[in-house]
Amino acid sequence: MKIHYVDEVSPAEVVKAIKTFSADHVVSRLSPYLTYLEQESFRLKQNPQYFFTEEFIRGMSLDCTNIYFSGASDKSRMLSEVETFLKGKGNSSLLSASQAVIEELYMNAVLDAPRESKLRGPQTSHKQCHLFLSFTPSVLVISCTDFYGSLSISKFVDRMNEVYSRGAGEAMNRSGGGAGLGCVILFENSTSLFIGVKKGQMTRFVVWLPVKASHRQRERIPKSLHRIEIE
Amino acid sequence: MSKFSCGIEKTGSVFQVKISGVIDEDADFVPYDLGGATEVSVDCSGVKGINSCGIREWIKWISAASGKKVIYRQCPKVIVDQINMVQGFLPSSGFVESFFVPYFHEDSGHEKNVLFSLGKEYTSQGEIKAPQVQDDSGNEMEMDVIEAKYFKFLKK
Repeated sequence: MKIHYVDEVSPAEVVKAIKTFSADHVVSRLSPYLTYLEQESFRLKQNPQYFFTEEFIRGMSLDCTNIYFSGASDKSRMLSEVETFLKGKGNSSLLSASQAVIEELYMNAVLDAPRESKLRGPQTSHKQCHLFLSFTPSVLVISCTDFYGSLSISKFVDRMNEVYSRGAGEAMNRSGGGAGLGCVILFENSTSLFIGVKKGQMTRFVVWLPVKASHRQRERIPKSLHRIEIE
Repeated sequence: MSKFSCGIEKTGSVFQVKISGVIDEDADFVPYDLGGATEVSVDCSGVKGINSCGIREWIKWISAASGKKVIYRQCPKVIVDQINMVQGFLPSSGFVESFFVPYFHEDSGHEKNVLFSLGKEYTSQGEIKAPQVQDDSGNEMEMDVIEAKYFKFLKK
Protein backbone atom coordinates (compact mmCIF):
# COMPACT_ATOMS: atom_id res chain seq x y z
CA MET A 1 0.00 0.00 0.00
CA LYS A 2 1.34 3.34 -1.02
CA ILE A 3 0.76 6.70 0.66
CA HIS A 4 1.20 9.72 -1.56
CA TYR A 5 1.45 13.22 -0.10
CA VAL A 6 0.22 16.34 -1.83
CA ASP A 7 0.18 19.98 -0.83
CA GLU A 8 -2.58 22.43 -1.70
CA VAL A 9 -4.34 20.70 -4.56
CA SER A 10 -7.87 20.61 -5.89
CA PRO A 11 -10.21 17.63 -5.40
CA ALA A 12 -9.64 16.77 -9.07
CA GLU A 13 -5.89 16.57 -8.50
CA VAL A 14 -6.34 14.35 -5.45
CA VAL A 15 -8.34 11.90 -7.58
CA LYS A 16 -5.82 12.08 -10.41
CA ALA A 17 -2.98 11.35 -7.98
CA ILE A 18 -4.49 7.97 -7.06
CA LYS A 19 -3.99 6.80 -10.63
CA THR A 20 -0.89 8.80 -11.59
CA PHE A 21 1.13 7.62 -8.61
CA SER A 22 -0.60 4.23 -8.17
CA ALA A 23 -1.33 5.37 -4.66
CA ASP A 24 -3.69 3.80 -2.16
CA HIS A 25 -3.82 6.87 0.06
CA VAL A 26 -3.56 10.46 -1.11
CA VAL A 27 -3.17 12.83 1.81
CA SER A 28 -2.48 16.56 1.91
CA ARG A 29 0.33 17.81 4.11
CA LEU A 30 -1.85 20.87 4.75
CA SER A 31 -4.81 18.93 6.12
CA PRO A 32 -5.73 19.81 9.71
CA TYR A 33 -6.29 16.07 10.17
CA LEU A 34 -2.88 15.06 8.81
CA THR A 35 -1.66 13.28 11.93
CA TYR A 36 -4.80 11.19 12.23
CA LEU A 37 -4.94 10.50 8.50
CA GLU A 38 -1.33 9.33 8.50
CA GLN A 39 -1.97 7.15 11.51
CA GLU A 40 -5.00 5.51 9.92
CA SER A 41 -3.32 5.16 6.52
CA PHE A 42 -0.29 3.43 8.06
CA ARG A 43 -2.54 1.20 10.10
CA LEU A 44 -4.49 0.25 6.98
CA LYS A 45 -1.23 -0.35 5.17
CA GLN A 46 -0.20 -2.86 7.81
CA ASN A 47 -3.61 -4.44 8.19
CA PRO A 48 -6.21 -3.72 5.45
CA GLN A 49 -8.79 -5.83 7.33
CA TYR A 50 -8.86 -3.08 9.97
CA PHE A 51 -10.95 -0.99 7.56
CA PHE A 52 -13.83 -3.44 7.84
CA THR A 53 -13.93 -3.41 11.63
CA GLU A 54 -16.32 -1.43 13.80
CA GLU A 55 -13.30 0.16 15.49
CA PHE A 56 -12.38 1.99 12.27
CA ILE A 57 -15.79 3.56 11.79
CA ARG A 58 -16.66 4.14 15.42
CA GLY A 59 -13.35 5.64 16.49
CA MET A 60 -13.60 7.10 20.00
CA SER A 61 -17.26 8.00 19.65
CA LEU A 62 -20.02 6.84 21.94
CA ASP A 63 -22.68 8.69 19.96
CA CYS A 64 -23.49 6.36 17.09
CA THR A 65 -26.41 4.89 15.24
CA ASN A 66 -26.96 1.84 13.03
CA ILE A 67 -29.49 1.99 10.19
CA TYR A 68 -30.29 -0.97 7.95
CA PHE A 69 -31.89 -0.75 4.53
CA SER A 70 -32.51 -2.90 1.49
CA GLY A 71 -34.25 -0.85 -1.14
CA ALA A 72 -36.50 1.98 -2.17
CA SER A 73 -39.17 1.22 0.41
CA ASP A 74 -36.62 1.80 3.19
CA LYS A 75 -35.32 5.16 1.94
CA SER A 76 -37.82 7.40 3.66
CA ARG A 77 -37.35 5.64 7.01
CA MET A 78 -33.58 5.68 6.60
CA LEU A 79 -33.50 9.44 5.92
CA SER A 80 -35.84 10.08 8.82
CA GLU A 81 -33.56 8.15 11.20
CA VAL A 82 -30.55 10.10 9.94
CA GLU A 83 -32.40 13.36 10.46
CA THR A 84 -33.31 12.36 14.00
CA PHE A 85 -29.70 11.39 14.80
CA LEU A 86 -28.26 14.63 13.41
CA LYS A 87 -30.85 16.96 14.97
CA GLY A 88 -29.11 19.72 16.90
CA LYS A 89 -25.66 18.33 16.13
CA GLY A 90 -24.44 20.64 13.40
CA ASN A 91 -24.94 23.67 11.22
CA SER A 92 -26.58 23.81 7.80
CA SER A 93 -23.25 23.12 6.10
CA LEU A 94 -22.87 19.80 7.93
CA LEU A 95 -26.49 18.85 7.31
CA SER A 96 -26.41 19.60 3.60
CA ALA A 97 -23.07 17.78 3.12
CA SER A 98 -24.40 14.78 5.08
CA GLN A 99 -27.58 14.72 3.05
CA ALA A 100 -25.68 14.79 -0.25
CA VAL A 101 -23.28 12.05 0.92
CA ILE A 102 -26.03 9.77 2.18
CA GLU A 103 -28.08 10.16 -1.01
CA GLU A 104 -25.15 8.99 -3.13
CA LEU A 105 -24.14 6.20 -0.73
CA TYR A 106 -27.72 4.95 -0.71
CA MET A 107 -27.91 4.88 -4.51
CA ASN A 108 -24.61 3.11 -4.79
CA ALA A 109 -25.67 0.43 -2.30
CA VAL A 110 -29.18 -0.10 -3.64
CA LEU A 111 -28.80 0.54 -7.37
CA ASP A 112 -25.17 0.30 -8.47
CA ALA A 113 -23.90 -2.53 -6.28
CA PRO A 114 -26.58 -5.10 -7.22
CA ARG A 115 -26.27 -4.14 -10.90
CA GLU A 116 -22.49 -4.62 -10.87
CA SER A 117 -22.89 -7.87 -8.98
CA LYS A 118 -25.35 -9.21 -11.61
CA LEU A 119 -22.83 -8.47 -14.35
CA ARG A 120 -20.37 -10.72 -12.60
CA GLY A 121 -22.67 -13.68 -12.28
CA PRO A 122 -25.77 -15.05 -10.50
CA GLN A 123 -26.67 -13.15 -7.38
CA THR A 124 -26.70 -14.86 -4.03
CA SER A 125 -28.92 -13.72 -1.21
CA HIS A 126 -27.64 -10.60 0.46
CA LYS A 127 -27.79 -9.03 3.84
CA GLN A 128 -29.30 -5.61 4.31
CA CYS A 129 -27.04 -2.66 3.68
CA HIS A 130 -25.68 -0.96 6.75
CA LEU A 131 -25.42 2.76 7.35
CA PHE A 132 -23.45 3.73 10.43
CA LEU A 133 -23.10 7.26 11.77
CA SER A 134 -20.61 8.17 14.46
CA PHE A 135 -20.53 11.67 15.94
CA THR A 136 -17.92 13.53 17.94
CA PRO A 137 -17.78 17.31 18.50
CA SER A 138 -15.11 17.55 15.79
CA VAL A 139 -16.00 14.97 13.15
CA LEU A 140 -19.00 13.08 11.80
CA VAL A 141 -18.16 9.70 10.29
CA ILE A 142 -20.63 8.20 7.85
CA SER A 143 -20.09 4.64 6.75
CA CYS A 144 -22.14 2.62 4.27
CA THR A 145 -21.61 -1.08 3.69
CA ASP A 146 -23.19 -3.33 1.10
CA PHE A 147 -22.58 -7.04 0.96
CA TYR A 148 -22.01 -7.44 -2.74
CA GLY A 149 -18.33 -6.54 -2.89
CA SER A 150 -18.83 -5.74 -6.56
CA LEU A 151 -17.32 -2.26 -6.74
CA SER A 152 -14.32 -1.75 -8.96
CA ILE A 153 -12.42 1.05 -7.25
CA SER A 154 -10.32 1.62 -10.33
CA LYS A 155 -13.48 2.13 -12.44
CA PHE A 156 -14.87 4.42 -9.72
CA VAL A 157 -11.72 6.55 -9.84
CA ASP A 158 -11.69 6.56 -13.66
CA ARG A 159 -15.26 7.87 -13.70
CA MET A 160 -14.38 10.64 -11.32
CA ASN A 161 -11.36 11.55 -13.43
CA GLU A 162 -13.56 11.74 -16.49
CA VAL A 163 -16.05 14.05 -14.80
CA TYR A 164 -13.27 16.31 -13.56
CA SER A 165 -11.44 16.43 -16.88
CA ARG A 166 -14.37 16.62 -19.32
CA GLY A 167 -17.01 18.21 -17.13
CA ALA A 168 -20.05 16.51 -15.66
CA GLY A 169 -22.33 17.44 -18.55
CA GLU A 170 -19.95 16.04 -21.18
CA ALA A 171 -19.34 12.85 -19.22
CA MET A 172 -23.09 12.28 -18.95
CA ASN A 173 -23.60 12.90 -22.67
CA ARG A 174 -21.02 10.29 -23.51
CA SER A 175 -22.17 7.45 -21.33
CA GLY A 176 -25.86 8.16 -20.76
CA GLY A 177 -26.19 7.13 -17.16
CA GLY A 178 -24.02 6.21 -14.15
CA ALA A 179 -21.40 8.51 -15.58
CA GLY A 180 -19.51 9.26 -12.40
CA LEU A 181 -21.48 12.32 -11.32
CA GLY A 182 -22.58 10.57 -8.12
CA CYS A 183 -18.98 9.63 -7.34
CA VAL A 184 -17.89 13.26 -7.72
CA ILE A 185 -20.81 14.59 -5.67
CA LEU A 186 -19.83 12.11 -2.94
CA PHE A 187 -16.20 13.23 -2.99
CA GLU A 188 -16.97 16.95 -3.27
CA ASN A 189 -19.11 16.72 -0.13
CA SER A 190 -16.54 14.66 1.82
CA THR A 191 -13.37 15.83 3.52
CA SER A 192 -11.88 12.34 3.59
CA LEU A 193 -13.26 9.47 1.55
CA PHE A 194 -12.26 5.86 2.17
CA ILE A 195 -13.36 3.16 -0.26
CA GLY A 196 -12.83 -0.48 0.64
CA VAL A 197 -13.75 -3.68 -1.19
CA LYS A 198 -13.51 -7.29 -0.12
CA LYS A 199 -14.15 -8.74 -3.52
CA GLY A 200 -17.40 -10.68 -3.73
CA GLN A 201 -18.14 -10.05 -0.05
CA MET A 202 -18.56 -6.41 0.86
CA THR A 203 -17.97 -2.83 -0.16
CA ARG A 204 -17.65 -0.09 2.40
CA PHE A 205 -17.50 3.67 1.97
CA VAL A 206 -16.40 5.79 4.91
CA VAL A 207 -16.72 9.56 4.84
CA TRP A 208 -15.31 12.03 7.35
CA LEU A 209 -17.03 15.38 7.73
CA PRO A 210 -15.82 18.18 10.03
CA VAL A 211 -18.65 19.16 12.33
CA LYS A 212 -18.01 22.81 13.04
CA ALA A 213 -16.95 24.06 9.60
CA SER A 214 -19.02 26.57 7.66
CA HIS A 215 -19.65 26.02 3.92
CA ARG A 216 -16.57 28.00 2.95
CA GLN A 217 -14.33 26.43 5.58
CA ARG A 218 -15.47 22.96 4.57
CA GLU A 219 -14.63 23.58 0.92
CA ARG A 220 -11.19 24.88 1.83
CA ILE A 221 -10.12 21.85 3.88
CA PRO A 222 -7.78 19.75 1.71
CA LYS A 223 -9.33 16.42 0.84
CA SER A 224 -7.91 12.94 1.15
CA LEU A 225 -8.81 9.82 -0.76
CA HIS A 226 -8.09 6.25 0.30
CA ARG A 227 -8.61 2.84 -1.24
CA ILE A 228 -8.43 -0.56 0.36
CA GLU A 229 -8.79 -3.73 -1.68
CA ILE A 230 -8.79 -7.30 -0.45
CA GLU A 231 -9.10 -10.17 -2.93
CA MET B 1 -37.30 14.88 4.00
CA SER B 2 -39.96 16.30 1.66
CA LYS B 3 -40.78 14.42 -1.52
CA PHE B 4 -40.47 15.91 -4.96
CA SER B 5 -43.38 17.98 -6.19
CA CYS B 6 -43.85 20.07 -9.29
CA GLY B 7 -46.54 22.45 -10.47
CA ILE B 8 -46.84 24.05 -13.89
CA GLU B 9 -49.01 26.98 -15.01
CA LYS B 10 -49.27 27.73 -18.68
CA THR B 11 -50.26 31.07 -20.13
CA GLY B 12 -50.10 30.39 -23.83
CA SER B 13 -46.49 29.40 -24.49
CA VAL B 14 -45.17 30.92 -21.26
CA PHE B 15 -44.75 28.23 -18.63
CA GLN B 16 -44.28 28.93 -14.93
CA VAL B 17 -42.95 26.00 -12.99
CA LYS B 18 -42.54 25.56 -9.25
CA ILE B 19 -40.39 22.70 -7.98
CA SER B 20 -40.21 21.62 -4.35
CA GLY B 21 -38.77 18.89 -2.18
CA VAL B 22 -35.88 16.56 -2.92
CA ILE B 23 -35.19 15.78 -6.56
CA ASP B 24 -34.01 12.20 -6.51
CA GLU B 25 -34.32 8.93 -8.45
CA ASP B 26 -38.09 8.95 -7.86
CA ALA B 27 -38.63 12.45 -9.26
CA ASP B 28 -40.84 12.21 -12.32
CA PHE B 29 -40.71 15.18 -14.68
CA VAL B 30 -42.58 13.42 -17.49
CA PRO B 31 -46.00 14.94 -16.67
CA TYR B 32 -44.42 18.43 -16.81
CA ASP B 33 -43.28 18.38 -20.41
CA LEU B 34 -41.93 21.72 -21.65
CA GLY B 35 -42.61 21.10 -25.31
CA GLY B 36 -44.26 24.12 -26.93
CA ALA B 37 -42.89 26.62 -24.43
CA THR B 38 -41.25 29.82 -25.66
CA GLU B 39 -40.46 30.90 -22.11
CA VAL B 40 -40.00 28.81 -18.98
CA SER B 41 -39.51 30.23 -15.53
CA VAL B 42 -38.62 27.87 -12.74
CA ASP B 43 -39.17 28.80 -9.09
CA CYS B 44 -36.61 26.74 -7.16
CA SER B 45 -37.26 28.19 -3.71
CA GLY B 46 -38.78 24.97 -2.39
CA VAL B 47 -35.97 22.66 -3.50
CA LYS B 48 -34.40 20.95 -0.48
CA GLY B 49 -31.87 18.73 -2.20
CA ILE B 50 -30.90 16.99 -5.42
CA ASN B 51 -28.89 13.83 -6.04
CA SER B 52 -27.07 12.62 -9.15
CA CYS B 53 -30.15 10.83 -10.52
CA GLY B 54 -32.20 13.96 -9.95
CA ILE B 55 -29.62 16.05 -11.80
CA ARG B 56 -29.84 13.76 -14.84
CA GLU B 57 -33.66 13.90 -14.81
CA TRP B 58 -33.61 17.69 -14.49
CA ILE B 59 -31.26 18.05 -17.46
CA LYS B 60 -33.39 15.73 -19.62
CA TRP B 61 -36.48 17.72 -18.65
CA ILE B 62 -35.09 21.23 -19.14
CA SER B 63 -33.45 20.30 -22.45
CA ALA B 64 -36.95 20.37 -24.01
CA ALA B 65 -36.75 24.14 -23.57
CA SER B 66 -33.33 24.35 -25.16
CA GLY B 67 -32.98 27.53 -27.21
CA LYS B 68 -35.99 29.08 -25.48
CA LYS B 69 -35.92 31.72 -22.74
CA VAL B 70 -35.33 29.93 -19.45
CA ILE B 71 -35.30 31.75 -16.12
CA TYR B 72 -34.38 30.24 -12.76
CA ARG B 73 -35.66 32.06 -9.69
CA GLN B 74 -34.84 31.92 -5.99
CA CYS B 75 -32.25 29.19 -6.41
CA PRO B 76 -31.02 27.68 -3.15
CA LYS B 77 -27.33 26.82 -2.79
CA VAL B 78 -27.88 23.19 -3.85
CA ILE B 79 -29.19 24.41 -7.21
CA VAL B 80 -26.45 27.01 -7.67
CA ASP B 81 -23.86 24.30 -7.01
CA GLN B 82 -25.31 22.21 -9.85
CA ILE B 83 -25.51 25.19 -12.22
CA ASN B 84 -21.80 25.69 -11.61
CA MET B 85 -20.82 22.04 -11.78
CA VAL B 86 -22.97 20.48 -14.49
CA GLN B 87 -23.08 21.84 -18.02
CA GLY B 88 -26.64 21.85 -19.24
CA PHE B 89 -28.25 22.19 -15.83
CA LEU B 90 -28.96 25.76 -16.82
CA PRO B 91 -29.45 25.82 -20.61
CA SER B 92 -27.20 28.21 -22.50
CA SER B 93 -30.30 30.24 -23.40
CA GLY B 94 -31.15 30.61 -19.70
CA PHE B 95 -30.22 32.92 -16.88
CA VAL B 96 -30.64 33.14 -13.14
CA GLU B 97 -32.91 35.92 -11.97
CA SER B 98 -32.29 35.37 -8.26
CA PHE B 99 -30.41 33.00 -5.97
CA PHE B 100 -29.52 32.58 -2.32
CA VAL B 101 -26.12 33.21 -0.81
CA PRO B 102 -25.33 31.80 2.63
CA TYR B 103 -23.89 34.22 5.19
CA PHE B 104 -22.17 33.23 8.41
CA HIS B 105 -20.77 34.81 11.56
CA GLU B 106 -17.94 32.68 12.86
CA ASP B 107 -18.03 33.65 16.52
CA SER B 108 -21.77 33.37 17.04
CA GLY B 109 -22.31 30.60 14.48
CA HIS B 110 -25.36 32.46 13.16
CA GLU B 111 -26.37 31.66 9.59
CA LYS B 112 -28.57 33.44 7.08
CA ASN B 113 -29.52 32.87 3.48
CA VAL B 114 -29.67 36.15 1.59
CA LEU B 115 -31.45 36.52 -1.73
CA PHE B 116 -29.38 38.10 -4.49
CA SER B 117 -31.46 39.48 -7.37
CA LEU B 118 -30.42 40.42 -10.88
CA GLY B 119 -30.13 44.17 -11.18
CA LYS B 120 -29.76 44.61 -7.44
CA GLU B 121 -27.04 42.50 -5.91
CA TYR B 122 -25.54 41.53 -9.26
CA THR B 123 -25.51 42.67 -12.86
CA SER B 124 -25.93 40.71 -16.07
CA GLN B 125 -22.15 41.05 -16.54
CA GLY B 126 -21.59 39.22 -13.28
CA GLU B 127 -20.53 42.16 -11.13
CA ILE B 128 -21.45 41.57 -7.52
CA LYS B 129 -22.70 44.32 -5.21
CA ALA B 130 -22.85 42.28 -2.04
CA PRO B 131 -25.07 43.71 0.69
CA GLN B 132 -23.92 44.15 4.27
CA VAL B 133 -25.68 41.60 6.39
CA GLN B 134 -25.99 41.51 10.14
CA ASP B 135 -27.13 38.72 12.40
CA ASP B 136 -29.86 39.22 15.02
CA SER B 137 -27.26 40.57 17.47
CA GLY B 138 -26.01 43.18 15.03
CA ASN B 139 -22.77 41.34 14.20
CA GLU B 140 -21.62 41.72 10.63
CA MET B 141 -21.78 38.46 8.74
CA GLU B 142 -19.57 37.25 5.90
CA MET B 143 -20.49 35.48 2.68
CA ASP B 144 -20.06 31.80 3.40
CA VAL B 145 -18.95 30.80 -0.07
CA ILE B 146 -15.74 30.77 -2.09
CA GLU B 147 -16.75 33.68 -4.28
CA ALA B 148 -14.78 32.78 -7.40
CA LYS B 149 -16.40 29.34 -7.37
CA TYR B 150 -19.95 30.21 -6.27
CA PHE B 151 -20.42 33.16 -8.60
CA LYS B 152 -18.68 31.47 -11.53
CA PHE B 153 -21.98 30.93 -13.39
CA LEU B 154 -22.57 34.68 -13.53
CA LYS B 155 -19.48 35.18 -15.64
CA LYS B 156 -20.59 32.90 -18.48
